[in-house]
Amino acid sequence: MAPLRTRSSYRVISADTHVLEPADLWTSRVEPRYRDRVPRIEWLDRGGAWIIEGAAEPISFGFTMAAGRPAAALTDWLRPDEVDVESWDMPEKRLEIQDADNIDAELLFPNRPFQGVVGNRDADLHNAMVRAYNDWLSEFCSYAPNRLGGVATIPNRGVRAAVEEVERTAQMPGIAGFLLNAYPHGGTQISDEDDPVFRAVAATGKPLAIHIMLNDDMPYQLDAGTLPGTGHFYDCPGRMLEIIFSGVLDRIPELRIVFHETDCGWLPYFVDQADDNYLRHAKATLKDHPLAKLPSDYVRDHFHFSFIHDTLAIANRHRIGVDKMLWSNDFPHIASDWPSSWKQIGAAFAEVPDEERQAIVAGNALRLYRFAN
Amino acid sequence: MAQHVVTEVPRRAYPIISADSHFTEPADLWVTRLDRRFRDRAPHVEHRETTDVFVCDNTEMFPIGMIHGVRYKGGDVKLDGRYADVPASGWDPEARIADMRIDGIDAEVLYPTIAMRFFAIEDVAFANACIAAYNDWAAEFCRSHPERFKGIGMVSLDDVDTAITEMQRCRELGLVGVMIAVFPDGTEPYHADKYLPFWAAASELRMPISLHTASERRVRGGQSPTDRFLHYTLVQRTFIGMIYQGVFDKLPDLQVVSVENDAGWAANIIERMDYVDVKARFRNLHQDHLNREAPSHYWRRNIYYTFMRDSAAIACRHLIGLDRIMWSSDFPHGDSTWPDSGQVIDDQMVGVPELEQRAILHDNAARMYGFE
Repeated sequence: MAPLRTRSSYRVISADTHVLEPADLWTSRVEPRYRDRVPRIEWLDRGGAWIIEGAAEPISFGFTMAAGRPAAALTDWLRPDEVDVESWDMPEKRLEIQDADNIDAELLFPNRPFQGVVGNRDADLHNAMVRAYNDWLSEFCSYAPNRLGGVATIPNRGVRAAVEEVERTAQMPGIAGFLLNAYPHGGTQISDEDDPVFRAVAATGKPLAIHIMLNDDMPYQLDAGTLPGTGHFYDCPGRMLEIIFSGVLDRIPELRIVFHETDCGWLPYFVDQADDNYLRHAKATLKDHPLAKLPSDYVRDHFHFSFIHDTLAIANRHRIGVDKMLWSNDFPHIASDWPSSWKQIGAAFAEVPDEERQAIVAGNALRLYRFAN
Repeated sequence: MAQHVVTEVPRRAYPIISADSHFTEPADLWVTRLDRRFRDRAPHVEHRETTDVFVCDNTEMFPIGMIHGVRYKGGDVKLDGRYADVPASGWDPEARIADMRIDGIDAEVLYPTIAMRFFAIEDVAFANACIAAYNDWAAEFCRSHPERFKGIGMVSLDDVDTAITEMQRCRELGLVGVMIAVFPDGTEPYHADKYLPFWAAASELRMPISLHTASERRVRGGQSPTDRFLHYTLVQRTFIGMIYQGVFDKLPDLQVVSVENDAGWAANIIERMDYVDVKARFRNLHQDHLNREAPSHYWRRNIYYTFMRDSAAIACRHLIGLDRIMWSSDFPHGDSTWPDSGQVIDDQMVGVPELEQRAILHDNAARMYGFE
């Protein structure tokens, strides 16, 4: 059994890691009439892939478990003898993986096949697949809830089902927060209709998480020709403004939102400009969109940000707010420094006082997500 | 505005250049100058009951109240207006100099106002004719005081060959750069191969290419309250694409200027792209996009920025590149710092060494655009 952690003994918490969904997650849990429509793994000639209803092609998984693999060995197509699929359902193995990187706890987000659940437009099927995922996540994380913080998914094909799922999972063991992939009423444009869901999340005292962006499209096959990962902060600035101007934070002031893997080195610029634009246009082009306080006040009171590597954010931490920043290692994705995260932390935080580093690499995640403490 | 009471503005030891100010084009510019084949469609001013409007076929033009919005600051932004009330400093060089004196500005890089919307005209031949008339007029204006005024021409990239020809003509006219639509909505991104001959020609002619906010290829309908906060994301995407596709690696002398999109956002991207490129092993995955240098090399060699108020950019000036950022007043638009530019500058420059201030307020624009 894994060593237990108490509030005072966390050295480092990765605020953004990803599960590897077991091959039979949906086929073994979703009611029988849907079993031939849910994501499953097939071994094709090229290698293993998720077969997902509505996705244009099989979705291979090599790049989504690339952490620790040498560059020359990177491939998106893995053969059965190159990967231990069984271990994906073993929390004890997951803790060994954490231990190898000296990580005390981690927040667990879905991996690529889950986008096939988010993108599915059949509301009943969608809700059934979300329930199956959340049930599995809770079981997996309950093995060591003080080290495995599952972020349960909020379904996005109808407000009522979303409220029910938040309330159903709120007290389940191992559930540390709630993940918004798309707005509960459907789509990526906020509506007042979504309020009951946000109210239900706020009532749990747990944060609302957004991972990089909101998106209810089907997953697509990663392709080495795609321009590489600089899009992490495309969605977040506009998303914050959308949420601020929707008034939902005035109606539900207890709501705390954590943007994961968006970086925050850009935040000082964004906040300055948002206030400046708002102040100069509040009585003119924005007169039909009044705010109760400045954009920067909403950012300060409601939003947090996780990053993997963001030296600019670390250098500007006092302009951002030391209490708003959460470090992560993004295991098992390609950007991860696993199993050398401590080396990366040591270099990135070399000039940062211990107390501030501690807040960013562990304390803030613990305060927000609690990890069963 | 020349009638504004002149107050003493404390002077710096060097001329201050606004790297982005605007003409307001005279009402009859196109009526008198447009290629005769299109004269019956010439953009013109119509007198309506409550306001004058600029009419250009069915393309949506800027409201008259906005084209000299500096008069209506804060809570008094106006959309309606009469062209007779538009100050002559938009088109009369002497009136212009008087307004600049009020603000303590010595020289300006000048962009269009009305003509910016020509990028949204669907009929390419008509658009090019309207643009050519603007280029002729802008060049004439700047010839009146070449030590104070440097003009930016326009070209439409709908047809790349025509764009190159018009850019050459702009250079012969004495214009010091050209602007293209800030974002190629609905067509291929600017890093696409079809634009490479244009970028190559700009590099060879030493013509900097400007991407000015609010000069979209398609005017976006249904303004959301958050749009104005996010203008900078359009140029972000263009620069990221151009760098990854190797445009700047192929063309080391090409200079692209982000105009009125601020610069504070750039520091984060520069670091992020270097991380992705150099450290994150993507080199093994993205052979097609291999540049010879790290992305930051191109950011600091091929890209400039103008801004009015951006203390984050000032704070990150060495990361972005002290020689890449240029202050501007945006006169006479609604967001302009006129007539308080001196104060706006001083507020941002607290703690910045004098020589570094000079780079941002004068040297960078002087070097780039040939002010003497």
